[in-house]
Amino acid sequence: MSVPLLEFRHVWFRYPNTLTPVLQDCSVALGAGRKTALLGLNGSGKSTLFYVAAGLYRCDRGEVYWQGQRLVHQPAALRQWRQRVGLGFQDPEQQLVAATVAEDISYGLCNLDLPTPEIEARLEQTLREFELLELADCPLHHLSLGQKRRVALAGVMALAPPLLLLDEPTTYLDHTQTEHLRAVLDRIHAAGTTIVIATHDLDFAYCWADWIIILADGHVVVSDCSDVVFDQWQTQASSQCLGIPTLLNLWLSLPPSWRRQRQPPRTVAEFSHALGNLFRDLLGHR
Amino acid sequence: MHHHLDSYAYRNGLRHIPPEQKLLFAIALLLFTFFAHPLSQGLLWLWLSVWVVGYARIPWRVYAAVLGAIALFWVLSLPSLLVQVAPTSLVTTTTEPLLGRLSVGGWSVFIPQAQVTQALGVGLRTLVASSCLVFILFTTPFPELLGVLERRSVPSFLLDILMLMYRYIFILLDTAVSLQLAQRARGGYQRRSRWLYSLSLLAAQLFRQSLQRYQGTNLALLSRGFTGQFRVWRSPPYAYSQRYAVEAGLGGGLLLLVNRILG
Repeated sequence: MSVPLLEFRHVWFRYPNTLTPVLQDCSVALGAGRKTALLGLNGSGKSTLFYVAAGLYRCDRGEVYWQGQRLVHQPAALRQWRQRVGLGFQDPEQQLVAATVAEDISYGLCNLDLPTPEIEARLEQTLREFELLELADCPLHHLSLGQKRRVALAGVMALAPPLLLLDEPTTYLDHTQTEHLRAVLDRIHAAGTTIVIATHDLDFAYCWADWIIILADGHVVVSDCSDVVFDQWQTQASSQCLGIPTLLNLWLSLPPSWRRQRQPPRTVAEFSHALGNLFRDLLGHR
Repeated sequence: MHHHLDSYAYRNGLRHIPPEQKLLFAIALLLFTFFAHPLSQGLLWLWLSVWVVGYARIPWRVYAAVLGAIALFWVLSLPSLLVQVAPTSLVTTTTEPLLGRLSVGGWSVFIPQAQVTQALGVGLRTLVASSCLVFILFTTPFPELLGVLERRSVPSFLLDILMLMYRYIFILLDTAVSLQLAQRARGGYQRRSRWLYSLSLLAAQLFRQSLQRYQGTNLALLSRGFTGQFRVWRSPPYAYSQRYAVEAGLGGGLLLLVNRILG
């Protein structure tokens, strides 16, 4: 079995001046190359898990590993760690720190002490990849929320981290912006980046993720392939309070005899294709 | 309004001129206003308006609105500039021409003609000096001004603070507007008695959100590899303009000459 990219082993974390730990004996492994959705109710510890993963918070107990190498909270080690783990915050406004789009994307690159020609080359490449060339000189406070989200993501991806953690990336985005984000994430994933998103958007997770982690009361209750998780979605106690993805709900509302030996469709296209096949079968029988 | 003013700084006809060139021009004109003859000051204001409205392509309405807002301060200070109070016995013996006088009891309130001239002089100087500042505000983005200071070896921690302040002033303003809208939607500010209470709630919320924002920014800076110094790459889109340099030189020389003739 291959070594996980990132692994939490019995991690405990409690915020100062609070009684209950947010993370309680949390253990989970993130495999390389996956598209993982981290699900859980508000307060279940999703964002905190990301902050611990990025080395921003130090866990009270337990350990975090990168490909078997333990996270050590020392400046040089943390600097190297944060090049591996890119973190996108829930509120893009929080993440954008410079004045213009180009300046903000270059911020992380400058922190790496790269030579100026390399900074310029990587900056231009990132601006091109995220379709931000025209906005390069635009002040950040003139951008729409969707554009800010794109700039925030570009700022993280300019550093080319092997692991990208995104906290609620679809919040406040309309349908078109969400679809655009999905395309961007697919492109990033295809280029070899492992992606984990914490989300309440079950429909997004259902269509996009190939691995599902469910967090409840600070510990991981489910971590499995999305096909398996969604197949058992209705029977799992942990998923009950999260609701049910629309497409899956629609699929399950069909008569059981119609769904025989068929995997639930994961996209609208798959759903319509499955319905087409179904009607063809029904008409063929007659 | 604040967003619009900032937009002009990024999208104006003089955007490509190096900020050093614009700053030098504005500072030279500002110094000139301190000793120039009123007529030279008037000419200078007209010439500067050509730069702002003509070359930088700032709408004249916007330019006038900003100058009008600044002039409001001058108008508010007029009573203290013009009106004087003295015992009536002293006022009646003075040979100084007065524009008006009102006596109550043994005291007189009056406006000396010399004060009017002085107030007009202050007003004109305020207008011209403000125009120099407005010229910089409209043509040069704030981060580029910080870039000039950086090249002049101003301590980086000071520039980092100014930079973050610039970034978050807009967020704070937007937050304040959103909070105020939310308050108005629930009947805030409608009655005089609740006005002050709503305002105090707004201030408290702004303070709380600023603290949260500060903590969030700390995390964001750390996650992006903050090393103790705020460093970003700045594009150099400037092109030294000989045509503007020549006009600035000739115009400045002409103004000096006019001022010398006027004495």
